[in-house]
Parts: sequence; C-alpha cells; structure tokens
Amino acid sequence: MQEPCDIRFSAVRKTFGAQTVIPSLDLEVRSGERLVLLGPSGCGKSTIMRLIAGLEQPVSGTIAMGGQIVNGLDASERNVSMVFQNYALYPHMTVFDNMAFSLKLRKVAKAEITRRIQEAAEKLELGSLLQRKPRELSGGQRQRVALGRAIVQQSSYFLLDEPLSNLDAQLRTNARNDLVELHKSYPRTMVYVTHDQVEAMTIGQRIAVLRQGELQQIGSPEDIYMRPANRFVAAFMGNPPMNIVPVTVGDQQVMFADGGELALPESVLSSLKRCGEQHVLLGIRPEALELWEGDRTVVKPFPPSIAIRGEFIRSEYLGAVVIHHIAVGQHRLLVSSAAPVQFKPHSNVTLTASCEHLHFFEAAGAEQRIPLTVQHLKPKNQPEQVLVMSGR
Amino acid sequence: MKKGNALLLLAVIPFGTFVVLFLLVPVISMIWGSFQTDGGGAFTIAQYKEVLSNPYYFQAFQNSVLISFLSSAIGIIAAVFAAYAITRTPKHVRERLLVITNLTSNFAGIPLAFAFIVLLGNSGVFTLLCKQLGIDLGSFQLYSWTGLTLIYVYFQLPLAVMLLYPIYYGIQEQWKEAAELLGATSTIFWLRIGLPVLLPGIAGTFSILFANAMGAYASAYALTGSTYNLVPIRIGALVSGDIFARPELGSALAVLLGMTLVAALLLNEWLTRKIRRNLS
Repeated sequence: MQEPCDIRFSAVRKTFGAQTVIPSLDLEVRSGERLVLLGPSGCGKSTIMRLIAGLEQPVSGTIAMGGQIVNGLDASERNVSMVFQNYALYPHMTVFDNMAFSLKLRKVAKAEITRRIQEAAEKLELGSLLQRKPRELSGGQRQRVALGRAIVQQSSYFLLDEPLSNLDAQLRTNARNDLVELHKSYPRTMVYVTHDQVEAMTIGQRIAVLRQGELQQIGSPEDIYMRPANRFVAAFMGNPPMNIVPVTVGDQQVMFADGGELALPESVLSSLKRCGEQHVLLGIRPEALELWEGDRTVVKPFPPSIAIRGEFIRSEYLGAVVIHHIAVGQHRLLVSSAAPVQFKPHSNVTLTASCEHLHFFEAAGAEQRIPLTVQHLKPKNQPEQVLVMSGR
Repeated sequence: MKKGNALLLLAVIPFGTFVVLFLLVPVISMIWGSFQTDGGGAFTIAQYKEVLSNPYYFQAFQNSVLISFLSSAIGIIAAVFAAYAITRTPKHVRERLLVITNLTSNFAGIPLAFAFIVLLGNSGVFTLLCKQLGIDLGSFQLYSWTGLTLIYVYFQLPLAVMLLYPIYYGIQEQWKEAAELLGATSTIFWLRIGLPVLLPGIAGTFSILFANAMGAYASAYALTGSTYNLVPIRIGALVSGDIFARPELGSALAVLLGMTLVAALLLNEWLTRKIRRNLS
C-alpha cells in the first residue's frame, strides 16, 4: 500500500528578483520515506528544501505539510530539522551545547535534555566527544554532531542539504550506510539534497530528478536508471554516461547520420513508427553493451539483440571496471566491462546488446522517452534474428 | 645569498630606513631625553618624579583616559549597529557607504574641528538655525567636555565601522538559518551566537580606538586650545613651549603615554586571545 503524502507542493513558483528558479512545481513526499532531490548545480534542489524548511517562501502555489498549508509559516513553526552542507555548528559551543541548543530554547527539562543527547550520542558514537568544540573534531564527527543536533529535536521532518559533500570518499561510503541505518532507527520523512547520483541511488527510496527547477522524473532508483523518462535523466544518471546517438527511423532499420544502419526487431520498429517521430535518439548504457573482437553477426538469439560494428580506440582501466572507447562512424561509444581486453588500437570489434536495453527518446522538444515493445519469444518458423549495424 | 633574496632585501631597504629614521630614532631620542635634566647634559629621573607627583599631569592622564574610553565605548556601540546595517545593504549602496566611511575616517584634526565650529559653534549654522526655529539646544556647548567628546566620537565612529565591517562576514548565513530552525529568535541568535563570535573583533577594535583617542591632538587643540587638560596637549605645550619649552619633561610624559597605550594593547591582546580560545 502506498504511504500517504506528507509534503505536497502544488504549482509552487519561486523567483529571486528577475530570475525564475522554480517555474511551477508539483511534488509529493510520502510519509516516512527517504526522498532524494537530485540534479546538477543550480537546478533548484536546495531551494525546494529551503521552501520546505520555511527559509524561503514561494511566490505562488501552496506547500502543505502533514495536511496543513504552511505558506507563510516561520521555519521554527514547521517542526523541521535540517542538516546543512557545512553543518552550521556553533564554534564557541561544545558538542553537548550545540546539540542542546534548541532543547534549551524550548525549555525542555535538564534531565530530558541529557537523556536525549546521550541517546543520540550513543547511536552516533559521539559519547566521548560531548565536551569538545567543533574545531577539535574531524569532518565525519562534525557531520555526526549536526545529525545529532537534528535528531534530538525529534521533529517530524528531516532535511539534509548535501551533508556528505565535505567528507572524503572512504568516509562518504560509510556515512551513506550510516544515514540509511539512522533513518531506520528514526523513521521520519526525510528529504535529502545531492548532486551525487551514487548518494542518490544508495540513500533514496525514491529519487526526484530536477533540471532548471522542473521535475524531470520521480521514482525508485531502479525506475530512474532503467526507465529514464527523458534524455536528460538518461544522460545524468550513470557513470560512464549512457551512449546517446541521433538516428532516423527507416522501414527495416534505423539509420545513423553518417549512413550506418542498425537493423531492429519488428516489434521495436513498430513502437518507433507508432510514435510518429522520424528523427529519434538511441540510448544504450555502456554496461548493456558487450564487446567482441572482429566482425560478429550471430548474437544471443533471445531476447532479440543488435550488433554494432566499430573500431576499438582504447581502454581506461578503473580497477573494478574497464571503459572501452569504440568509434562507430562519427560517433564514439563507451562500453564498460569487468575484465580488460587485449585488442589492438583501430582493430575491428563488434558490440552487441539485448533490445531490452535499448532506449529511444524524441529528438526534439522535451526529448521524452518513447515506450518500446520488445518481443521476447522466438516467432515460430523464423530463423534466429541477426540484427547488424554497419558503422564502419 | 640567492639573487631573489638579495633583491627582496634591496626592496625592503627604503622602508627599513624610513622606520629607523622616523620611528626608532625619535623613540630612542624621546626615551633618552626623558632621562635628562632640563636643557640636557646630565642623567636624572626627576622628570618622571615631577610627572608622577604633579596633580596637574595626573589630571591630564585622567582626562585623556576618560575621554578615550568614553568616545571609544560610544563609537564601538554605534559602529556595531552601523557596520551590521552596511552589510545588509545592496552591493552598490554598500560600496558607496564604505567609500564615504573611509573618507570620513580620514577627516580629523584641524579641518574636523573647523567643520564642527562652522556647524555647531556659537555662531554655527545649526546653532543659529535652531535659534531661528526656536529649538532649544539646552546647555550644549561645543567648546565644552560634551563638545569635545562629540568630536572624538565623530572621528572614532568611521574608523570603528571600517574595522568592524569585515568581521561580520565571519558570521555564516547558515548559522542564522540553523538558529531559526532550532527555534531561536533574531535577538537570541545575536546574544548567544553572533555577539560571542564577534567579541574578539570588537575587543581588538576597541583597543585601536582607545589608542587613537589617547594620541589625538589637533582636533582637541583646535577646538578648545589649552582649556582642557589632555596628555597630548600637555606634551605639545611642553615641546613647543607656551612661555618656555621643557622638551625633557614632555618626553617623560610622552614615554608614560606610550606605556599606557602599550598596556592597553597588551590587555586587549590578552583578552582577545582568551575570548578566541573560548570561541575556537
């Protein structure tokens, strides 16, 4: 059963002077979920978080939290805790005083303050650091103090604005995991802002991808990655990024700008023809491509596959994966594999991929995804499909 | 010696010469002179004995410390608000305000005293205007202690603003936002977070203002002549000589003035370090 909506943006518009940051946003955050706002710098994700926190007010539209419209309500009245990018710890206060600050202001009893802080400190492994000043802590410890300060408030909403961006790579991996565990212990509605897709994929139960203040797609990490709603989401998610090549839809195949052709199964072609677009964008993730030496025409029979002939340029060894650069006509495709290859530069290679992993997008306008129907079963009395693209 | 280092040393020579000729030599000569008998020629501590035992000079120190402390305190309180207000203005307004502040911070001495006389003197523009409009200025007299304090505050204020303005940028915007979310009002934020963070800067600025006022001569002299007994005016009188000059006694006074300033700076340094340690 779907969780009830806890935060709802309805036609929210936000401008700073003449600059429109959010043109009109409709967004729902479910109760108790971890929603990640993901997008490049300047896409408005931090502004959305600040609108939730009450640090900014919308120009128009409504924001509802827990069923109540909160437009115009002060930040202190929204029952929100926030962890800032630079943690915003007060340098002249100890860890204890930083964590106790809001509780003292709310006149919580001393014993209760101590109890809450000790409980949070235990959870965050800050027990021995309570009398230290922020300058005496490492980046990771400061981040945990900021989390602790947010936790002890026992607010209904937990907002995190790129809290891991100041940590080194090793610490960040651990911190991601800690955050997820922490959310299990304190199951509040959590909105997390980041521009890092790995953080988004690992922390978010759902991800909202934003671009120029507009919501591009919202869904589970799998949805976003496997079924990107448009070219922007497809290119933004994934490292190395998705290969995207403009093609023209023909009768039996799609044609590349430089004359190369790629034969496609009838079911896929029918889907493309149905959408009525002649010029489309073909997307294939680097890990969906398999790399073979020489010319290869027979590929995996089912599900239907494609084969693309190209020229091996070079490989980049990254440890866990190897990225291969393949020239296909005037295009350069990236292929990732677990193992290195020993191909000579400029040798002939074949790339194969299951049609399930092909993505097509409109070449104009919003560059929306074109839904495909891929026939998985082998048609009776028909030979195995050999679908070859000649790019050389 | 490396060629680069030799060139650097060469570049420093003019500055070094300047410091030696116009700072070290006068200071040494002043200290030397303070231990000389009138007219020079023999070592003595009589000049110090006279300064420390003569109530007239003691009063000069008292007055100087009092007016310096008062004008610095008023100046710093006003500047704390003024500098903050400047940080909140749009960039183009802020830049113009800073230029004006910078200009006024350099407007001191005789021109400043003259400007005050023209505006608020017995026949000053505002004084006559107020009389014409029937506004009673009460017992205000420019040539009084109040007038002198006013002129001191005037030249202290822009300097304090110039020195305090940058320290506001040490207050992170996110501290304010975090405080807001944690339930603090603006007043609570400034009392519990803003002010403690600004304190070392305020203390440092106060000591500079105090030293600035202790050494001020021209403004006070141009406004009140020798009516008010202040240390720099006494030194000036002894060195240039109203009736007859006593530069050795003036040197002893100057050495004691210098020691007062050094003591104030050391006290401030100690306080600042203590506050910084608590803050960091």
